[in-house]
Amino acid sequence: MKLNDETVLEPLHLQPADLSSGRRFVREAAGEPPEPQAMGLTRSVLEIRGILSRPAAPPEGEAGGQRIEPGSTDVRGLNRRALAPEVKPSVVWVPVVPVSRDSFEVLQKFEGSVLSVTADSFLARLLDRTKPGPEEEAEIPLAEVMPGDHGLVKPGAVFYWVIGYRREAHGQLSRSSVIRFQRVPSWSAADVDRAKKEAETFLSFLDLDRANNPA
Amino acid sequence: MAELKPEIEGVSVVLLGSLNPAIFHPAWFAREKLIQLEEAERADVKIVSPEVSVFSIGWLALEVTLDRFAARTTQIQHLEPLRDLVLGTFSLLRHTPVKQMGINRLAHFRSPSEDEWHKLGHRLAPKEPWAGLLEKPGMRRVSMEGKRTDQYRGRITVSVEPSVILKPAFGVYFEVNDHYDNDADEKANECDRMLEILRACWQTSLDRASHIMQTLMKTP
Amino acid sequence: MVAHVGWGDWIIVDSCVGPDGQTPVGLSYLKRIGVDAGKAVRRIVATHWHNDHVRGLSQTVQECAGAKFICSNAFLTREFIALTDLWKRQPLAASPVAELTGVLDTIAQAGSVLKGSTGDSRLGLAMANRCLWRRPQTADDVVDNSAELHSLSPSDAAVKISLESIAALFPSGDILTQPVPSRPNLFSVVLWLRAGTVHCLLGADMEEQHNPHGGWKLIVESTERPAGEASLFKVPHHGSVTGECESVWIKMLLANPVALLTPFQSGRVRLPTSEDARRICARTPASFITASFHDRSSRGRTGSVNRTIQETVRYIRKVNDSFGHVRARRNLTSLAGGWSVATFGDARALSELYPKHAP
Repeated sequence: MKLNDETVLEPLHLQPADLSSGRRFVREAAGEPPEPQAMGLTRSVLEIRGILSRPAAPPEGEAGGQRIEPGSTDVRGLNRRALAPEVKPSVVWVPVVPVSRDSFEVLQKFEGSVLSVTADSFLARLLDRTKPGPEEEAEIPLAEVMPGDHGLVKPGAVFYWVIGYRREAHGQLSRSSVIRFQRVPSWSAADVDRAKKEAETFLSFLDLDRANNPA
Repeated sequence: MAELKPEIEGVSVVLLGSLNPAIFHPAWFAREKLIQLEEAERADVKIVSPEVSVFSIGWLALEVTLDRFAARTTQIQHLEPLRDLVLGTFSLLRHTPVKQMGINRLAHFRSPSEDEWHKLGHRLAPKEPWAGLLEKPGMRRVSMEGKRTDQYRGRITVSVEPSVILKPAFGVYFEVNDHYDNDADEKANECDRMLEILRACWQTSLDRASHIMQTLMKTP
Repeated sequence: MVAHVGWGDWIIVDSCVGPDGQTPVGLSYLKRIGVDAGKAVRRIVATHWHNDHVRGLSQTVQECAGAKFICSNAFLTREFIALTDLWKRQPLAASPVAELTGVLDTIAQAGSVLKGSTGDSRLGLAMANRCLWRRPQTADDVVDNSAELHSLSPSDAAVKISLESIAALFPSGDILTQPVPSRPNLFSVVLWLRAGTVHCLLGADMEEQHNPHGGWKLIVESTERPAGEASLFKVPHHGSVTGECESVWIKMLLANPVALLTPFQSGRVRLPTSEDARRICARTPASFITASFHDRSSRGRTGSVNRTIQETVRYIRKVNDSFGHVRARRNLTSLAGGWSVATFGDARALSELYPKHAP
């Protein structure tokens, strides 16, 4: 997923290797130009016309397929490995979410856990993740928590508190404080069963008879 | 020397495997409590289909195809929620075959001056070899790949190119791709192993990427 | 708490860290006075798993390589070990059982804890009226240099109840949350320490809630507990009224024992309260507390951050900001003389904690 691309809509050709960076290898099959409307791209969001799905073969005489970046005419086809026979890539038109020009400068990060909750606030322990030091304790009004997270404010819940400057695209700078609760699924029954079985195995190796005679 | 602040930055987590894009609708994420219900209701859904799903919810942009899951944020106050979302999603979908993962840090920096901008280009892509071959050669993009020095399989790739977004100022765009190949043995669950790597390597990966960017930007 | 029981033998009970949040206080104290913790510490006892009693414990167990680790057998249950394992795989937030997980990992690496091994095991389990350590009288020594450490709790019944509370530590909702300690704490390990003719009662966090399966009454009325009366008492549960049991003072303690306690502060709760302090001071004038109460917040942050914090919270304060220790010493080779007590850092006489209400 490039952040350095002005196009909104780009064809996506999936290749098996080297895609964890999010680089898109765009492949145009010979003789099949992209949809005309797609050529007149603007930054506004376009509706998807459809999804094209067809196997693509490397053009004759080329070591591999062509790689074309939207809006460019360079070809890097001589430096491509041929696709493995079992790979059947598809060409998919995918809208790209525009990159926000807002930025955030983090000044302070806490990780907190809720100790107790009252009608309008909660007590929390805070760990300073910016400059580790002694634990702190704070009482935080529930109003500081996003409404969508209120249901998560329970004893034991973990949250992130980030303080910094938000800079909007037009340059406006403002101090910002964001409290967001951690959303990691609880352990499944299978996880717990597995852990208990491993615990039983661990215990079976311990000499608990001797442990019960510690003197 | 003080740390340089990027103008725009983002982090993405990309997993390669075998996926069913139709699952990845904001409503599913809300139902599983991985995002707020309000976020799901306000989501900008571009498409959700058996072949591709794309939506965003303000701080998160998600894109899923048949073999690729990519979650990105450009609001770095939401880095941990991004990580948690990936962990949470694949804790629930733990039977997804996941072969590779990338933790990617992306940033646009503004060079202090045109001169500094050119100096960086000269340093990464010296122009002398091109003398007489090209008129006014300029660096379009440099990618360097390095081996991992930890116990994981994979590589680290750093790409640098002029920023097309920071105009007209002289901006530099970095992509650091921290790529992990799944090293789960036959008996282990692939997805669990990849999540274990994500948990273990998250902060190290981000710190390393930041260090790489800062060092390249600052080297005289 | 660290106790020198004479003749170079040390015992450590529970653990906490200093104001830096990192260094186990017991270990750093021993290093400071030139004691080789790896050789001199005989037993390390974890009285229960609450965070304020186990911080730094895993490092302590690791460095005191010659010590046996003692805990309630409620910890060595399938449920508790499963919990430590699940949290180990979930290092997103500080594991609430990280210290005990570290301890389990250390002792598991000690071959002596395994079946079929020989030699002294690194693991011991505490139960009511069990001897945890004994130093026999040396035959040619004139004075009584024997020593013993006994656990007076938990009872069998309390262990069974504690298993239910451990089961409750598994998150019940859809979203992972940290476990919150349940109370009352019936499986806290109360210790009876004898060095020669000197007895000490270490009350951990034991409470009295009129529960027939656990609590102080059960301990006091036990016919199997060691005989004697203690001249030093570690007051349980931060001096709170829930830890108070009159029969302990009457039947297990000498008159006017040295009483030691630690404070607890969370939210608006401060223990001991001024009434608790008055009550304990009335029992014995020789009452001491290791620290006082402070409400200072951290320094070293920028003005913007501090402003934002103050605008967001109702209050913020450093935990464990007040720090000190109490040292109580007495001669074991002579029956004459009593305890001499010194305070360091923020430690003080209990009567000074709430000066207006001093008896």
